[in-house]
Amino acid sequence: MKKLILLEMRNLFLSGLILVSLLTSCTSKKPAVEPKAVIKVENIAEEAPSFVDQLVRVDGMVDHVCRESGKRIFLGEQRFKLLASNSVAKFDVALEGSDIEATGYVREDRIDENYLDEWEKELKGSATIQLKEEVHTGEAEARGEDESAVETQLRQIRDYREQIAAGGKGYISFYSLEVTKLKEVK
Amino acid sequence: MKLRKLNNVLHRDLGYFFFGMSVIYAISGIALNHIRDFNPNYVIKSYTVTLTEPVTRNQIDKAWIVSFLEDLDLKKEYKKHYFPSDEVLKVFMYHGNVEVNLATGEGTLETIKKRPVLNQVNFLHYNPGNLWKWFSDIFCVAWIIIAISGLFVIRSGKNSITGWRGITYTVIGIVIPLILFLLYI
Repeated sequence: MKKLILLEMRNLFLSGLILVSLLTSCTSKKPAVEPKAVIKVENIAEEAPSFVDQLVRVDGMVDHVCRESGKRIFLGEQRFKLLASNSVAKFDVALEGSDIEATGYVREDRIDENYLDEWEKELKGSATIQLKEEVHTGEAEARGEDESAVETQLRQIRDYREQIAAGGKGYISFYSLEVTKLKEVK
Repeated sequence: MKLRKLNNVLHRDLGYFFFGMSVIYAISGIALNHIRDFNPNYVIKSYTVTLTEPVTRNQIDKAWIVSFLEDLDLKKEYKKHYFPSDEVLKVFMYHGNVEVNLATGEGTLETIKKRPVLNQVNFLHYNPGNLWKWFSDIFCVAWIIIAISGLFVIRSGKNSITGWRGITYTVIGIVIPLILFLLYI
């Protein structure tokens, strides 16, 4: 009986050892890549277009963390959008009011008339519909409006049409940061 | 070792080993299914607040806000503040925030507390890092093995996979998600 228990324990130990080695070999560290620039959130609107798809660090104060999913942060008074990624899966609401250094890849979403037409079509026949990530700017939420409400989104579409017409490029761009590393400074 | 014995040992031991993971994924699964019905991560409460006396932006500093929060029974909660516009004050607390319109004196207090258990299991479900990713992948593979081996635990008779009970329950369990899938597409 004692021998059997010892045998079982040895098997358990060996299985544990195999599991640990599997996990550690799968997660071996890759060499760190340094960000191309460190940008204060106050300057992000001007700087972001030059760093699309590049690794940068953005510093600023967390103004808002998405309550439901925790997958979105709005940084600074500029409400620059940070998105969770495979490396940083979720943001804690306790970060609100904290200064952070967020490292990640700048992403650009271009919104043109075709996009707006498709969006408008999707809204037909619904009262509420989840807001698409590309146009989830947090502006409506900051005004205390329901951003899932079709009426709010239709107003957003009208605003974007005006901005596209005024801009002359045929589209407007929204920039965000796909966060791979986040450090709370204070 | 006979094939059936190996099957049963695998079913039993993987079941024991991944009991904790099964519970974590089951609880967080229910929570995430109902993410539109309630916030599974935080208990959020909103209150209306009113300033007792009019105040201007220039009169507001950290000491004023600390005293304001103490009046709301929120001692040691001050974290930071800023003015999103000339008329609006936003205060960050350790467990929530307050936004006050200085022109009207009206504002909203939001208190936020982590929901015990659900917050933690959801945190894990959202894949907090590489170690978790690989461990939960192993768990998922193990669950496939547990599911398949479960079909063959009973050798024969009405309760086995070749008996009426085994076949009926297995088929119903496959057909229900299929019907739901067809309903939704």
